Amino acid sequence: MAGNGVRAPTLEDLQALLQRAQGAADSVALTSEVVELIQALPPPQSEILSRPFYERGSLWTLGVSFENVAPDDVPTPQNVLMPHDMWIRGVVAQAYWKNPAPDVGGALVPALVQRLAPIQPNNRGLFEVGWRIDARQGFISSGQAEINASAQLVAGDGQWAAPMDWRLEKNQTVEVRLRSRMRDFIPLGLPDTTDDARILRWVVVAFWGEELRQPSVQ
Amino acid sequence: MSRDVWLAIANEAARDPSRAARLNALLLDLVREAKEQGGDSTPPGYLYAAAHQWIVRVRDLDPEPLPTAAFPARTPITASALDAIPFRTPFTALIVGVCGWALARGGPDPTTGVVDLGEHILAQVLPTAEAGRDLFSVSIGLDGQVTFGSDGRDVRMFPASCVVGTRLVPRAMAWTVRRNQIIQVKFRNITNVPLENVTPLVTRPLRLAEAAVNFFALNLERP
Repeated sequence: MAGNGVRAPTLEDLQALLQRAQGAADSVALTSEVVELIQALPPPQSEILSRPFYERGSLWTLGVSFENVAPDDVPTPQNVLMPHDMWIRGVVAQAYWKNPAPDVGGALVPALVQRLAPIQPNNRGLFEVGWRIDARQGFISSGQAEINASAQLVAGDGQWAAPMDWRLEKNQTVEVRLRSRMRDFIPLGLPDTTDDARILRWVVVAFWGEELRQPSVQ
Repeated sequence: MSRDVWLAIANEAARDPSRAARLNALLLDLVREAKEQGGDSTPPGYLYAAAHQWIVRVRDLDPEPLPTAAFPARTPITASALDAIPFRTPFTALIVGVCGWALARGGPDPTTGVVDLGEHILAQVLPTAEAGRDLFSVSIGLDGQVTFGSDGRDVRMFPASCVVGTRLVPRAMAWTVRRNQIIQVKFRNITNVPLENVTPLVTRPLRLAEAAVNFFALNLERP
C-alpha cells in the first residue's frame, strides 16, 4: 500500500498519443496503447470534485434485526431511529434460515436446497417486509391496502440497494415489519418436517443513507 | 459516459487495423471536443490513485457462540467480543467504493490432519450472497464513530452482504478521509447462524480462512 504513485494520465497525454497515431502505420501500432491509456484515465473532474461537501459525508447503514422468527410469528415491528437529518438512498436485506437438524434429511441437503432454490441471493425469498415512516406512512400497497412484499421484490442484495429517496429529519423513525414465508418454502404436508425446519434464525433489513448536513467526522 | 464511447472506438480500432487510422482521427476529434467543453477533464495536479486498495482483513476467524435460552449472556448476534482492526489512512483520500469477501473452509483435524469432506463441502455451499459476504458480519467506523452499522441508537453489526458490495459492484461511497485518520473494521464469523442445529454433527465449527473489506481510494494529495 503506497502513499505515492505515478502521475495520472491526462486528456493531454491522450491527445498527444492520438496525434502520434495519425499516421497509418502508427495507428495500428499504437492502438493497444490508446486503449490502455483510456482505461487508465482518472474519472472526470466533474465526477470527483464537484459534489457538495456534505455529499461526501458519512454513509450510514441503518438496520433492524429480527431473530428466531417462527413461520406463524408476527414479530414486533422494529424501528430505525434517524440519528441525523438523513437522506435514505436504498434498502438491502439478508436472511439466515436455521437449517433443520440432521435427522430431517441430513446436514448437507438443506444447504444444497437452499443454494439451488429461487430465493437467492441473500435468502430474500424467505420473507416479506414492509416499512412505514413514523408508524404512519406506508409505502408498499396493493392499491387498496398496505401489504408486506417479498424482499426479493422490494430490497437489494448489497451489490445493489433497491433505490429509495427519503429525506428524513433527525429522530424520525422507519418502522419495519416482517413476515416469514417459510411455509411456502417448506410446505405443510412435506414428509418428516416440523416447524423446527422453518425458523428464520436472523433477518436483517438495512437502509443505506447519507447525512444531509455536514458530518461531524469530516 | 464519453469514456465508454472512447474505449469502444479504441477497441474497435485495435480489432480492425484497416480502420485504425480513421477511428483514431475520430477519437482525436472527440478528445479535443471534450477538452474544450471542460466537463470531462481529469483533475489537474492530483495523483491518480484508483489502484489504491485499502484492505482490512482477518484470517482463520472462528465463530463466536450465539446466545441461547440456556446461555443468554453470550455476545448478541449483532455484536462481537473481538476488537476492531484499525487502519491508519496513509494520505488524504476520497474513498469511492467498498467491497467485501470471505471464504469458509473445513479445518484439518488437530490430531490426524484430515479434513472432513462433508464439512468442507458444507463450507463451500453455505454462502447465499455473492463473494461469501453473508458468512461474516461487519461494522465500519472512522475515528471511533461507527456509521456502517447502527439502528440509529447503538452500534450494530450486520451481515457484510447488507453493508458492503462486491469487487464487481462495490458499494459506492464518497467518503473523504484525512491522512492519519483511523478506519476501524470489526469482523464476526457468523457461519454458525444457519448451522445452529447441525453444528453438533459437523465435527468442528466452520472457520473463515479469510474475511476482508476493501476500500477503493483516490489520493487527493498533490504530488
